[in-house]
Amino acid sequence: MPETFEGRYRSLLENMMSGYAYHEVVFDEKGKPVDYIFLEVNKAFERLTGLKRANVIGKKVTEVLPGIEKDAADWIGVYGMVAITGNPIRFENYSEKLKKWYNVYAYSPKKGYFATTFEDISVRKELETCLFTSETKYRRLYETNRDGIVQTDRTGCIVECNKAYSDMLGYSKEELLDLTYQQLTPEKWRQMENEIVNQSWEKADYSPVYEKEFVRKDGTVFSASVRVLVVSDENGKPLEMWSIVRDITRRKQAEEAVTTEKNVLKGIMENTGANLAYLDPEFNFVSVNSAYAKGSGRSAEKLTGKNHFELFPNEENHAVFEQVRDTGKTVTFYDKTFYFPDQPGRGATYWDWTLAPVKDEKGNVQGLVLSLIETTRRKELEQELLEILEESQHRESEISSLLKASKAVLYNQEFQPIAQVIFDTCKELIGATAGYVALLSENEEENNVLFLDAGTLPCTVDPKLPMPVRGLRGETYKTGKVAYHNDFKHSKWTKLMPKGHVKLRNVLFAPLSIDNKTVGIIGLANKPGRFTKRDANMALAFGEIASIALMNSRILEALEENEKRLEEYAEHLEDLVEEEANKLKDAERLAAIGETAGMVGHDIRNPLQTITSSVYLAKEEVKLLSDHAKREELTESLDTIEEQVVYINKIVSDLQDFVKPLNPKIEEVDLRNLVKDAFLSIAIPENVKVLILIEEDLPQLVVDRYLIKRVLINLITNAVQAMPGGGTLTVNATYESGMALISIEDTGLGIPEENRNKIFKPLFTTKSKGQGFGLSVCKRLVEAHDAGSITFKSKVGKGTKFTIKVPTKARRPDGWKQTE
Amino acid sequence: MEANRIILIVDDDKSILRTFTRILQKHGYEIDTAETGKEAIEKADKKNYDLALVDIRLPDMDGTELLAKMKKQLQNTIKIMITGFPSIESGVKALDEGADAYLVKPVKPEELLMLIKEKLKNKN
Repeated sequence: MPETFEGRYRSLLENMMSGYAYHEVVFDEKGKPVDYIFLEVNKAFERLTGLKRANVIGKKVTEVLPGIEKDAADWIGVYGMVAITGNPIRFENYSEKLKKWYNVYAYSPKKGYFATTFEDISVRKELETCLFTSETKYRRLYETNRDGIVQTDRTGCIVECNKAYSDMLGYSKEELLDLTYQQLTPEKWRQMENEIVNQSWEKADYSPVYEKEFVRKDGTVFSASVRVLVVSDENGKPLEMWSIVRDITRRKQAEEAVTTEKNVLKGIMENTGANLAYLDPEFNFVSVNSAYAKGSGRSAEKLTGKNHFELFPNEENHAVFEQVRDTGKTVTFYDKTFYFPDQPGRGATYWDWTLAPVKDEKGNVQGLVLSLIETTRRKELEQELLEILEESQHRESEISSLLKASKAVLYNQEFQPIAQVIFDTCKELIGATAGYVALLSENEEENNVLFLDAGTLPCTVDPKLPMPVRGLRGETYKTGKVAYHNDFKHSKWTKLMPKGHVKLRNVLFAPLSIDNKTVGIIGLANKPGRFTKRDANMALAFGEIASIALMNSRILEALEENEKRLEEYAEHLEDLVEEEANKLKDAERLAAIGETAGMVGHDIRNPLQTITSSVYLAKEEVKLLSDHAKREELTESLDTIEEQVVYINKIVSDLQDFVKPLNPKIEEVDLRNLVKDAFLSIAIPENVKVLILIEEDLPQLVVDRYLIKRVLINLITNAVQAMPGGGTLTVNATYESGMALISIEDTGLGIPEENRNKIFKPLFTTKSKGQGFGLSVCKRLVEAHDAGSITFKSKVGKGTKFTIKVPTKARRPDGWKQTE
Repeated sequence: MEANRIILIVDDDKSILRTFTRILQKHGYEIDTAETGKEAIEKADKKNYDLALVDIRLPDMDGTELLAKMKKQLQNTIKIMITGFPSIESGVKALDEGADAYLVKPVKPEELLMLIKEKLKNKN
């Protein structure tokens, strides 16, 4: 070799990074290499081996590194073979002497000599050892892993797989090596997987874990999670692809189970009637069901993470929560009141609630389950029911009170005791403590108290003091409506109360009405609390019942009155019957009279005619007598006979008049003329004084002139005859309500008591002459006129006064009796 | 005094017939009497009377009935009815049958004489 070349070569050897040494092998006599001698070394040699050039050149290796001959690497033998055979060798070996791994290249440039170049690979070897260790470990993992591990090429052909993978898929490893992963993947997953794989390949990186399905050999499908791992070379170029496949069927099943369980729980949570909330130990909401959210008036999202007591501050409940958390014991409440501080409009709400701890395995409280059932509606219903119950009880007591009052009306007749029962019942029902019942006085000005209940308060007012109809009670009298005032002492009526009156806090007046007129009142006062509209209605009802009682009692009074009158009438009836019987007797008698009247006319008047004629003849004879005294005497006798004939004839005339039907001819007649005419027909004795007193403006009579004239003649004749010893005869006429009252009064004998009720009867005669038919005819004639009547007053020894009443022109025309 | 005036008195009461006859004869009248209606009719058939004094009630008939029956015979005779039981009906009936007067018993003789005198005077 030329110098220059050698020089350059040396320089290269000297400066190269690898160690370089040149050796001569030492053989034993049998030609077996037993040692070698260092001929040359470079700087790297010194650095890599730690041996100094000066210490090794020319020296045997056994000298430099004593014991090397026993090194397991058999350095001397290996290098000897290279020097002998000339075959280069590359190996890695551990030098126990130098405690280093070397990558060695040995070659022989000349028989018996060898050169080595080497690198210290201890670090790499160390790593390789570790790698080996981990690789072993990983291989074991790889083989025993429950996850399938598979290596594929870029196209998807399976290159390598572990047992788990083949187990998972049900293929043998050999079978798998003929397949691609795509063939093991159901169509629907391929697109997705392809994208993931491509991305990973391009990035030469891990893929995210993704889930897919695989088809087993038997055609069944299972879920798996997969992660693709792309291995690249030093330059980042992707080389191979590994996939870790995990059968997640169980996880899926577990997940499904959990999901199902969750759904079940959720279903339970959502569908239970309860409001459920799960809170952490700090009472923050972890989750709530929708019922809870709704019940709290918030969305579930707004509740989650919030603190219960920040949202619903309540010291009492806070203490309860702490107690449950700290003791781990469940607490339950029923119908607990809660006011939402942020929702005052909701008022009181009621809740059944249970707060239960959720504990971990060690019994530590992990959270709290709050279960609420709002019972507000139930509570309200209960309250309503209670109110309805109270209402119906109140109704019942109202009805039974009204019934009691009504019974009182049915079983009693007198007003006062009924009123007392009604008042007491009404007072008790309404709850008043004082009051009275009063009736309107007849003049309608006073409120006459029937009875008064002052209650327990003192009342010193004189009960006899009048109670005028005024004030609030006056309102009731006026309107017929219930009036009440709950602050009476401040009302305008207070000043009307007399001194000593019971203090009135409140008052109520209900009317007692008959025919829509208020005729009395029930007064109530001093109810603890207030009189209500309902009280007013009830008081009105009691007032109505009392009104019925009052009406009943008044009707009863009227009935009793009528009964009494009827009794009187019945008694009177006997008289009346007697009278009628008498009348009947009279009528019979009259019939007899009528029947005989004709006969009487002849049978008496014929003799009367004979007498009259005879007296005439006798008088003619007497005139011829010369004896004056005799003549006088006979004439007197004949005159007397004539007089008696006239009287008898009068009786006959009266009798005939009495049975004759009357047909008065009504006309307007002047009483003065009539009286004058009457007096013309009567001889008034000198000892009788006549007074005629007729009212100036007396209207014309409306009578039958002849009938009334006969009546007057009759009465005047009677009067004159009643005063045989003389006296005063007074004719008086006055006007009264369309009628003329004409009286004929004498100062004569008077009519004895026992005869007074007989004097108008026909054929009644007193022993003194002048009665006979007279008065009964007078009665008949007067009564033949419209509303005509005849009456008399008499005192024995003082005289008699007959009064006839006959119609005048001033009487109402429709009262006239127009007859032929 | 009027001569030859003939008066028929019809009455069932003999006393009345006797007294009236005496009174009227005294005053110059010629008197016939009848006690029944039948008798009166017989008498009137035989003789013309200037005046008849007839009681309304007769035993065999009513005086007014008699008037009706003797209408022809008593055509020119003054007819005076006399009754003890006056009534408007009988009075009206009498006048309807042609009676010239209607008197009620007891009649005063003076009045009767005056009436007869007047009626006879008017007749002539």
